[in-house]
Amino acid sequence: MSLPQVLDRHLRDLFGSGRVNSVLGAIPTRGPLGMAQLARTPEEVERFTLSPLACPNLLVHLTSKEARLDPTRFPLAVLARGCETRMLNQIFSEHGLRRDQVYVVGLAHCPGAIDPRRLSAQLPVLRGFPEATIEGEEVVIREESGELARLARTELVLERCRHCQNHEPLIDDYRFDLVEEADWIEPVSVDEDPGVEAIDAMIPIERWAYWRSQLERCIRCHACRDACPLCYCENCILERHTPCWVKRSVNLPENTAYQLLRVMHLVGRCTACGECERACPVDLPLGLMMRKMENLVREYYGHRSGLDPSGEHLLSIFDPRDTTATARLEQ
Amino acid sequence: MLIGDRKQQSYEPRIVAFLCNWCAYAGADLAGTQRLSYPPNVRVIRLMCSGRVDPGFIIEAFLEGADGVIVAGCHPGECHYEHGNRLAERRMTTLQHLLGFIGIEQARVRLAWVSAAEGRKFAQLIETTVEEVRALGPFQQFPRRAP
Repeated sequence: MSLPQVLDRHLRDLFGSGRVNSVLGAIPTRGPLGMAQLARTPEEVERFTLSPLACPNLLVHLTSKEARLDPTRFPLAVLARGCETRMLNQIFSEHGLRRDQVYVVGLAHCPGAIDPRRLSAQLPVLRGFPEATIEGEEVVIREESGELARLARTELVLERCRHCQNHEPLIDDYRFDLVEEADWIEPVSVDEDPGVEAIDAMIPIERWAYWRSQLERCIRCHACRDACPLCYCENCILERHTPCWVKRSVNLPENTAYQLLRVMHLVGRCTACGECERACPVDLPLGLMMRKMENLVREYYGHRSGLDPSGEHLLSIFDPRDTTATARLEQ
Repeated sequence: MLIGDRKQQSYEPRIVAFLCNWCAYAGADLAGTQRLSYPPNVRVIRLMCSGRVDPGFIIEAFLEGADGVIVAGCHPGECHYEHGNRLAERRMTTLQHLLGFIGIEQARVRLAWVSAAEGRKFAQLIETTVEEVRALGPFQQFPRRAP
Protein backbone atom coordinates (compact mmCIF):
# COMPACT_ATOMS: atom_id res chain seq x y z
CA MET A 1 0.00 0.00 0.00
CA SER A 2 1.92 3.02 -1.22
CA LEU A 3 1.07 6.66 -0.64
CA PRO A 4 -1.93 8.35 -2.26
CA GLN A 5 -0.95 9.98 -5.51
CA VAL A 6 -1.33 13.57 -4.40
CA LEU A 7 0.94 13.06 -1.39
CA ASP A 8 3.45 11.04 -3.37
CA ARG A 9 3.65 13.82 -5.95
CA HIS A 10 4.08 16.46 -3.25
CA LEU A 11 6.97 14.60 -1.64
CA ARG A 12 8.68 14.13 -5.01
CA ASP A 13 8.27 17.86 -5.71
CA LEU A 14 9.95 18.62 -2.39
CA PHE A 15 13.00 16.71 -3.56
CA GLY A 16 12.78 18.31 -7.02
CA SER A 17 12.72 21.85 -5.68
CA GLY A 18 15.60 21.11 -3.31
CA ARG A 19 13.41 22.01 -0.33
CA VAL A 20 14.40 18.83 1.56
CA ASN A 21 17.28 16.37 1.51
CA SER A 22 15.30 13.43 2.82
CA VAL A 23 11.84 12.32 3.78
CA LEU A 24 11.05 10.32 6.91
CA GLY A 25 8.10 7.97 6.76
CA ALA A 26 7.05 4.46 7.61
CA ILE A 27 7.32 1.36 5.44
CA PRO A 28 5.33 -1.86 5.87
CA THR A 29 6.98 -4.84 7.53
CA ARG A 30 6.13 -8.47 7.98
CA GLY A 31 3.73 -8.91 10.85
CA PRO A 32 1.78 -6.25 12.68
CA LEU A 33 4.25 -3.36 12.74
CA GLY A 34 5.49 -0.62 10.43
CA MET A 35 9.09 0.51 10.40
CA ALA A 36 10.70 3.93 10.00
CA GLN A 37 12.52 4.59 6.77
CA LEU A 38 14.51 7.58 5.59
CA ALA A 39 14.03 8.25 1.88
CA ARG A 40 16.93 10.11 0.33
CA THR A 41 15.74 9.91 -3.28
CA PRO A 42 12.28 10.56 -4.77
CA GLU A 43 12.08 6.88 -5.84
CA GLU A 44 12.29 5.64 -2.26
CA VAL A 45 9.12 7.55 -1.38
CA GLU A 46 7.20 4.82 -3.21
CA ARG A 47 7.74 2.39 -0.36
CA PHE A 48 6.03 4.57 2.23
CA THR A 49 2.70 3.68 3.78
CA LEU A 50 0.05 5.55 5.73
CA SER A 51 -1.30 2.30 7.16
CA PRO A 52 -2.43 2.45 10.80
CA LEU A 53 -0.16 -0.56 11.35
CA ALA A 54 2.81 1.81 11.11
CA CYS A 55 2.58 2.86 14.73
CA PRO A 56 6.15 3.77 15.83
CA ASN A 57 6.88 7.38 16.65
CA LEU A 58 9.19 8.43 13.83
CA LEU A 59 10.59 11.53 15.48
CA VAL A 60 13.34 9.62 17.25
CA HIS A 61 15.11 9.62 13.89
CA LEU A 62 15.25 13.41 14.02
CA THR A 63 16.92 13.68 17.40
CA SER A 64 18.86 10.42 17.79
CA LYS A 65 22.63 10.18 17.81
CA GLU A 66 22.52 8.89 14.23
CA ALA A 67 20.69 12.06 13.16
CA ARG A 68 23.21 14.23 15.00
CA LEU A 69 26.09 12.50 13.24
CA ASP A 70 24.37 12.83 9.88
CA PRO A 71 23.49 16.51 9.28
CA THR A 72 23.06 15.85 5.54
CA ARG A 73 19.61 14.41 6.16
CA PHE A 74 18.34 17.91 7.05
CA PRO A 75 16.26 19.72 6.00
CA LEU A 76 13.99 16.76 6.35
CA ALA A 77 10.32 16.25 5.61
CA VAL A 78 8.46 14.10 8.10
CA LEU A 79 5.05 12.48 7.83
CA ALA A 80 3.66 13.48 11.21
CA ARG A 81 0.36 12.72 12.90
CA GLY A 82 -1.15 15.08 15.48
CA CYS A 83 0.69 13.52 18.41
CA GLU A 84 3.97 13.77 16.55
CA THR A 85 3.48 17.43 15.70
CA ARG A 86 2.88 18.09 19.39
CA MET A 87 6.17 16.44 20.21
CA LEU A 88 7.89 18.36 17.41
CA ASN A 89 6.63 21.56 19.01
CA GLN A 90 8.19 20.47 22.28
CA ILE A 91 11.51 19.72 20.55
CA PHE A 92 11.44 23.15 18.85
CA SER A 93 10.64 24.87 22.16
CA GLU A 94 13.72 23.38 23.81
CA HIS A 95 15.88 24.13 20.74
CA GLY A 96 16.50 20.47 19.99
CA LEU A 97 15.86 21.27 16.32
CA ARG A 98 15.21 24.46 14.40
CA ARG A 99 11.84 24.89 12.73
CA ASP A 100 13.51 25.44 9.34
CA GLN A 101 15.23 22.04 9.56
CA VAL A 102 11.94 20.20 9.42
CA TYR A 103 9.23 20.26 6.77
CA VAL A 104 6.10 18.98 8.45
CA VAL A 105 3.67 16.97 6.36
CA GLY A 106 0.74 16.96 8.74
CA LEU A 107 -1.51 13.90 8.62
CA ALA A 108 -4.89 15.26 9.66
CA HIS A 109 -8.03 13.47 10.93
CA CYS A 110 -5.92 10.68 12.46
CA PRO A 111 -8.13 7.77 13.57
CA GLY A 112 -5.31 6.21 15.62
CA ALA A 113 -2.57 3.67 15.09
CA ILE A 114 -2.86 -0.03 15.76
CA ASP A 115 -1.07 -1.52 18.76
CA PRO A 116 0.86 -4.58 17.52
CA ARG A 117 0.42 -6.30 20.90
CA ARG A 118 -3.34 -5.85 20.92
CA LEU A 119 -3.52 -7.04 17.33
CA SER A 120 -1.37 -10.10 18.04
CA ALA A 121 -3.58 -10.94 20.99
CA GLN A 122 -6.58 -11.12 18.69
CA LEU A 123 -4.85 -12.47 15.58
CA PRO A 124 -1.81 -14.49 16.67
CA VAL A 125 -0.80 -15.42 13.12
CA LEU A 126 -0.37 -12.79 10.43
CA ARG A 127 1.34 -13.92 7.22
CA GLY A 128 3.30 -11.79 4.80
CA PHE A 129 2.74 -8.05 4.73
CA PRO A 130 -0.68 -7.47 6.29
CA GLU A 131 -2.67 -4.36 5.51
CA ALA A 132 -5.16 -2.51 7.64
CA THR A 133 -7.69 0.15 6.90
CA ILE A 134 -9.89 1.95 9.37
CA GLU A 135 -13.50 2.15 8.28
CA GLY A 136 -15.53 3.99 10.86
CA GLU A 137 -15.42 2.11 14.15
CA GLU A 138 -14.03 -0.99 12.46
CA VAL A 139 -10.54 -1.95 11.46
CA VAL A 140 -10.30 -4.25 8.46
CA ILE A 141 -7.21 -6.48 8.46
CA ARG A 142 -6.21 -7.98 5.12
CA GLU A 143 -3.60 -10.51 4.17
CA GLU A 144 -2.47 -11.22 0.62
CA SER A 145 -5.11 -13.95 0.44
CA GLY A 146 -7.93 -11.55 1.27
CA GLU A 147 -9.86 -10.08 4.14
CA LEU A 148 -8.95 -11.67 7.45
CA ALA A 149 -10.90 -9.94 10.17
CA ARG A 150 -12.96 -6.92 11.18
CA LEU A 151 -12.15 -5.70 14.66
CA ALA A 152 -13.34 -2.83 16.85
CA ARG A 153 -11.15 0.27 16.48
CA THR A 154 -11.17 1.24 20.16
CA GLU A 155 -10.04 -2.26 21.15
CA LEU A 156 -7.12 -2.21 18.77
CA VAL A 157 -5.53 1.24 18.84
CA LEU A 158 -2.51 2.19 20.96
CA GLU A 159 -3.09 3.36 24.50
CA ARG A 160 -1.97 6.86 23.51
CA CYS A 161 -4.60 6.95 20.77
CA ARG A 162 -7.32 6.15 23.29
CA HIS A 163 -6.42 9.28 25.24
CA CYS A 164 -5.58 11.32 22.17
CA GLN A 165 -6.36 15.02 22.26
CA ASN A 166 -4.48 15.82 19.08
CA HIS A 167 -6.19 14.19 16.13
CA GLU A 168 -5.22 17.19 14.03
CA PRO A 169 -1.66 18.46 13.44
CA LEU A 170 -0.67 21.47 15.55
CA ILE A 171 1.82 22.64 12.95
CA ASP A 172 2.16 21.77 9.30
CA ASP A 173 3.69 22.97 6.08
CA TYR A 174 1.42 20.70 4.07
CA ARG A 175 -1.71 18.94 5.21
CA PHE A 176 -3.10 15.62 4.13
CA ASP A 177 -6.32 14.11 5.49
CA LEU A 178 -6.00 10.46 6.54
CA VAL A 179 -9.76 9.99 6.44
CA GLU A 180 -12.29 12.23 4.74
CA GLU A 181 -14.66 12.87 7.61
CA ALA A 182 -13.34 13.33 11.12
CA ASP A 183 -16.66 13.78 12.92
CA TRP A 184 -16.77 10.22 14.15
CA ILE A 185 -13.41 10.40 15.94
CA GLU A 186 -14.62 10.74 19.49
CA PRO A 187 -12.79 13.12 21.79
CA VAL A 188 -11.90 11.12 24.91
CA SER A 189 -12.02 12.80 28.28
CA VAL A 190 -8.55 13.80 29.51
CA ASP A 191 -9.22 12.76 33.07
CA GLU A 192 -10.34 9.31 32.17
CA ASP A 193 -7.39 6.98 32.65
CA PRO A 194 -8.40 3.74 34.36
CA GLY A 195 -4.83 2.43 34.51
CA VAL A 196 -3.51 5.42 36.46
CA GLU A 197 -6.64 5.69 38.58
CA ALA A 198 -6.36 2.05 39.62
CA ILE A 199 -2.87 2.68 41.04
CA ASP A 200 -3.89 5.99 42.62
CA ALA A 201 -6.61 4.10 44.48
CA MET A 202 -4.08 1.73 46.10
CA ILE A 203 -2.33 2.26 49.41
CA PRO A 204 1.49 2.72 49.27
CA ILE A 205 2.24 -0.93 50.13
CA GLU A 206 0.06 -2.19 47.29
CA ARG A 207 1.52 0.33 44.87
CA TRP A 208 5.04 -0.73 45.69
CA ALA A 209 4.11 -4.42 45.46
CA TYR A 210 2.82 -3.73 41.96
CA TRP A 211 5.80 -1.66 40.82
CA ARG A 212 8.25 -4.04 42.44
CA SER A 213 6.84 -6.94 40.47
CA GLN A 214 7.16 -4.85 37.32
CA LEU A 215 10.55 -3.23 37.89
CA GLU A 216 12.13 -6.55 38.84
CA ARG A 217 11.54 -7.68 35.27
CA CYS A 218 13.42 -4.75 33.72
CA ILE A 219 16.46 -5.96 31.79
CA ARG A 220 17.96 -2.46 31.48
CA CYS A 221 18.24 -2.60 27.72
CA HIS A 222 17.65 1.19 27.58
CA ALA A 223 15.08 0.66 24.80
CA CYS A 224 12.66 3.05 26.55
CA ARG A 225 15.30 5.78 26.46
CA ASP A 226 16.44 5.04 22.93
CA ALA A 227 12.90 5.00 21.57
CA CYS A 228 12.05 8.34 23.16
CA PRO A 229 12.39 11.28 20.75
CA LEU A 230 12.78 13.60 23.75
CA CYS A 231 15.73 11.69 25.25
CA TYR A 232 18.45 13.22 23.15
CA CYS A 233 21.06 14.52 25.61
CA GLU A 234 24.49 13.99 24.08
CA ASN A 235 25.78 12.85 27.45
CA CYS A 236 23.04 10.80 29.08
CA ILE A 237 23.28 10.59 32.88
CA LEU A 238 21.92 7.06 32.74
CA GLU A 239 25.14 5.81 31.19
CA ARG A 240 27.64 8.26 32.62
CA HIS A 241 30.34 6.82 34.89
CA THR A 242 31.61 9.98 36.58
CA PRO A 243 29.49 10.76 38.47
CA CYS A 244 27.72 7.45 38.45
CA TRP A 245 24.04 8.21 39.06
CA VAL A 246 22.86 4.69 38.51
CA LYS A 247 24.91 1.52 38.37
CA ARG A 248 24.72 -0.88 35.47
CA SER A 249 23.80 -3.84 37.67
CA VAL A 250 20.40 -5.26 36.81
CA ASN A 251 18.62 -5.43 40.14
CA LEU A 252 15.62 -3.86 41.79
CA PRO A 253 17.27 -0.78 43.36
CA GLU A 254 19.17 0.18 40.22
CA ASN A 255 16.21 -0.54 37.95
CA THR A 256 13.98 1.64 40.11
CA ALA A 257 16.52 4.46 40.20
CA TYR A 258 16.96 4.17 36.44
CA GLN A 259 13.26 4.57 35.76
CA LEU A 260 12.81 7.35 38.33
CA LEU A 261 15.68 9.34 36.84
CA ARG A 262 14.40 8.76 33.33
CA VAL A 263 10.93 9.94 34.26
CA MET A 264 12.23 12.97 36.17
CA HIS A 265 14.14 14.04 33.08
CA LEU A 266 10.90 13.94 31.09
CA VAL A 267 8.54 15.63 33.53
CA GLY A 268 6.93 18.61 31.83
CA ARG A 269 8.44 17.60 28.48
CA CYS A 270 6.85 14.22 27.89
CA THR A 271 3.83 14.33 25.60
CA ALA A 272 2.74 10.85 26.76
CA CYS A 273 3.21 9.31 23.34
CA GLY A 274 3.68 5.89 24.95
CA GLU A 275 6.66 5.03 22.77
CA CYS A 276 8.71 3.91 25.82
CA GLU A 277 6.03 1.39 26.70
CA ARG A 278 5.70 0.19 23.11
CA ALA A 279 9.45 -0.25 22.78
CA CYS A 280 9.82 -2.18 26.05
CA PRO A 281 10.71 -5.80 25.29
CA VAL A 282 9.42 -7.04 28.66
CA ASP A 283 6.16 -5.05 28.59
CA LEU A 284 6.75 -2.80 31.59
CA PRO A 285 3.80 -0.41 32.04
CA LEU A 286 6.01 2.67 31.60
CA GLY A 287 3.19 4.61 29.99
CA LEU A 288 1.43 4.63 33.37
CA MET A 289 4.24 6.65 34.96
CA MET A 290 4.43 9.02 32.02
CA ARG A 291 0.69 9.62 31.93
CA LYS A 292 0.56 10.04 35.70
CA MET A 293 3.18 12.79 35.52
CA GLU A 294 1.48 14.40 32.54
CA ASN A 295 -1.81 14.49 34.43
CA LEU A 296 -0.06 15.87 37.50
CA VAL A 297 1.60 18.82 35.76
CA ARG A 298 -1.65 19.64 34.04
CA GLU A 299 -3.54 19.57 37.31
CA TYR A 300 -0.96 21.45 39.40
CA TYR A 301 0.59 23.85 36.92
CA GLY A 302 -1.88 23.89 34.03
CA HIS A 303 1.02 22.77 31.90
CA ARG A 304 0.67 20.76 28.72
CA SER A 305 3.93 20.13 26.95
CA GLY A 306 4.30 20.74 23.24
CA LEU A 307 1.36 23.04 22.72
CA ASP A 308 3.49 26.18 22.59
CA PRO A 309 6.62 26.11 20.40
CA SER A 310 8.04 29.06 22.35
CA GLY A 311 7.10 27.60 25.75
CA GLU A 312 9.63 27.24 28.54
CA HIS A 313 10.53 24.10 30.44
CA LEU A 314 8.18 23.46 33.35
CA LEU A 315 10.97 22.91 35.89
CA SER A 316 12.99 25.96 34.80
CA ILE A 317 10.29 28.50 35.53
CA PHE A 318 7.91 29.14 38.41
CA ASP A 319 4.64 30.80 39.13
CA PRO A 320 3.70 32.73 42.29
CA ARG A 321 0.70 30.41 42.60
CA ASP A 322 2.91 27.32 42.97
CA THR A 323 2.78 27.67 46.73
CA THR A 324 -0.76 26.31 46.70
CA ALA A 325 0.67 23.07 45.40
CA THR A 326 3.43 23.14 48.00
CA ALA A 327 0.92 23.67 50.78
CA ARG A 328 -0.62 20.34 49.83
CA LEU A 329 2.87 18.86 49.94
CA GLU A 330 3.72 20.21 53.37
CA GLN A 331 0.54 19.15 55.12
CA MET B 1 27.79 3.62 61.47
CA LEU B 2 26.72 6.35 63.86
CA ILE B 3 23.49 4.71 64.76
CA GLY B 4 23.76 1.15 65.92
CA ASP B 5 22.53 -2.09 64.45
CA ARG B 6 19.24 -1.43 62.66
CA LYS B 7 18.14 -4.98 63.19
CA GLN B 8 17.86 -4.33 66.89
CA GLN B 9 14.43 -3.52 68.19
CA SER B 10 15.21 0.16 68.67
CA TYR B 11 15.02 1.42 65.12
CA GLU B 12 16.52 4.83 64.52
CA PRO B 13 15.64 6.46 61.23
CA ARG B 14 18.36 7.99 59.09
CA ILE B 15 17.38 11.34 57.66
CA VAL B 16 19.37 13.23 55.06
CA ALA B 17 18.79 16.99 55.06
CA PHE B 18 19.80 19.18 52.13
CA LEU B 19 20.04 22.69 53.58
CA CYS B 20 20.66 25.90 51.71
CA ASN B 21 23.67 27.89 52.83
CA TRP B 22 21.85 31.17 53.41
CA CYS B 23 18.72 30.29 55.34
CA ALA B 24 18.15 26.69 56.39
CA TYR B 25 21.79 25.98 57.28
CA ALA B 26 21.98 29.23 59.22
CA GLY B 27 18.72 28.20 60.90
CA ALA B 28 20.26 24.88 61.90
CA ASP B 29 23.27 26.78 63.19
CA LEU B 30 20.99 29.00 65.24
CA ALA B 31 19.26 25.96 66.70
CA GLY B 32 22.72 24.86 67.86
CA THR B 33 23.76 28.20 69.37
CA GLN B 34 20.37 28.42 71.09
CA ARG B 35 21.18 25.00 72.58
CA LEU B 36 17.90 23.55 71.33
CA SER B 37 17.85 19.79 71.34
CA TYR B 38 16.55 17.80 68.42
CA PRO B 39 16.97 14.13 67.42
CA PRO B 40 20.49 13.22 66.26
CA ASN B 41 19.13 11.21 63.31
CA VAL B 42 19.75 13.88 60.75
CA ARG B 43 22.76 14.14 58.42
CA VAL B 44 23.08 17.64 57.07
CA ILE B 45 24.39 18.35 53.57
CA ARG B 46 25.03 22.02 52.94
CA LEU B 47 24.32 23.36 49.47
CA MET B 48 24.46 26.92 48.22
CA CYS B 49 20.77 26.87 47.30
CA SER B 50 17.82 24.52 47.56
CA GLY B 51 17.59 24.96 43.78
CA ARG B 52 20.80 22.94 43.57
CA VAL B 53 18.99 19.81 44.70
CA ASP B 54 18.69 17.54 41.70
CA PRO B 55 15.93 14.92 42.01
CA GLY B 56 18.78 12.44 41.49
CA PHE B 57 20.27 13.45 44.86
CA ILE B 58 17.15 12.28 46.63
CA ILE B 59 16.99 9.03 44.70
CA GLU B 60 20.67 8.53 45.54
CA ALA B 61 20.00 9.19 49.23
CA PHE B 62 17.32 6.50 49.27
CA LEU B 63 19.55 4.08 47.36
CA GLU B 64 22.29 4.59 49.92
CA GLY B 65 20.07 3.85 52.88
CA ALA B 66 18.30 7.04 53.92
CA ASP B 67 14.86 6.53 55.47
CA GLY B 68 13.75 10.08 54.80
CA VAL B 69 14.95 13.20 53.01
CA ILE B 70 14.43 16.84 53.92
CA VAL B 71 15.08 19.69 51.52
CA ALA B 72 14.99 23.07 53.25
CA GLY B 73 15.60 26.51 51.79
CA CYS B 74 14.69 30.15 52.16
CA HIS B 75 11.08 31.26 52.33
CA PRO B 76 9.56 32.06 48.92
CA GLY B 77 10.69 35.52 47.85
CA GLU B 78 13.72 35.47 50.13
CA CYS B 79 16.06 33.32 48.08
CA HIS B 80 19.64 34.59 47.94
CA TYR B 81 19.55 33.80 44.22
CA GLU B 82 16.13 35.37 43.67
CA HIS B 83 14.11 32.24 42.88
CA GLY B 84 16.18 29.08 43.32
CA ASN B 85 13.80 27.89 46.03
CA ARG B 86 10.83 28.28 43.71
CA LEU B 87 12.51 25.98 41.21
CA ALA B 88 13.20 23.50 44.01
CA GLU B 89 9.51 23.68 44.84
CA ARG B 90 8.42 22.41 41.42
CA ARG B 91 11.09 19.72 41.30
CA MET B 92 10.26 18.45 44.76
CA THR B 93 6.52 18.45 44.12
CA THR B 94 6.84 16.42 40.94
CA LEU B 95 9.40 14.05 42.46
CA GLN B 96 7.31 13.50 45.58
CA HIS B 97 4.29 12.57 43.50
CA LEU B 98 6.31 10.28 41.29
CA LEU B 99 7.71 8.52 44.36
CA GLY B 100 4.20 8.40 45.80
CA PHE B 101 2.93 6.81 42.62
CA ILE B 102 5.36 3.90 42.88
CA GLY B 103 4.58 3.46 46.57
CA ILE B 104 7.10 5.52 48.55
CA GLU B 105 5.22 7.15 51.44
CA GLN B 106 4.92 10.91 50.97
CA ALA B 107 6.20 11.66 54.49
CA ARG B 108 9.64 10.35 53.56
CA VAL B 109 10.26 13.35 51.33
CA ARG B 110 9.74 16.77 52.82
CA LEU B 111 10.24 20.28 51.54
CA ALA B 112 10.35 23.09 54.09
CA TRP B 113 11.13 26.77 54.30
CA VAL B 114 13.39 27.70 57.23
CA SER B 115 14.85 31.18 57.56
CA ALA B 116 18.11 32.03 59.32
CA ALA B 117 16.11 33.29 62.31
CA GLU B 118 14.05 30.13 62.73
CA GLY B 119 16.21 27.86 64.85
CA ARG B 120 13.15 26.62 66.71
CA LYS B 121 11.30 25.83 63.48
CA PHE B 122 14.32 23.84 62.30
CA ALA B 123 14.39 21.79 65.51
CA GLN B 124 10.65 21.14 65.20
CA LEU B 125 11.02 20.18 61.54
CA ILE B 126 13.59 17.54 62.44
CA GLU B 127 11.49 16.29 65.35
CA THR B 128 8.29 15.85 63.32
CA THR B 129 10.13 14.29 60.39
CA VAL B 130 11.95 11.79 62.59
CA GLU B 131 8.70 10.90 64.35
CA GLU B 132 6.81 10.37 61.13
CA VAL B 133 9.58 8.36 59.48
CA ARG B 134 9.99 6.28 62.65
CA ALA B 135 6.30 5.42 62.44
CA LEU B 136 6.76 4.32 58.81
CA GLY B 137 9.69 2.08 59.65
CA PRO B 138 12.91 1.51 57.70
CA PHE B 139 12.97 2.36 53.99
CA GLN B 140 12.68 -1.06 52.41
CA GLN B 141 11.61 -0.30 48.88
CA PHE B 142 14.85 0.12 47.00
CA PRO B 143 17.97 0.54 49.16
CA ARG B 144 21.17 -0.87 47.65
CA ARG B 145 21.87 -2.80 50.86
CA ALA B 146 19.05 -4.48 52.73
CA PRO B 147 18.11 -2.54 55.88
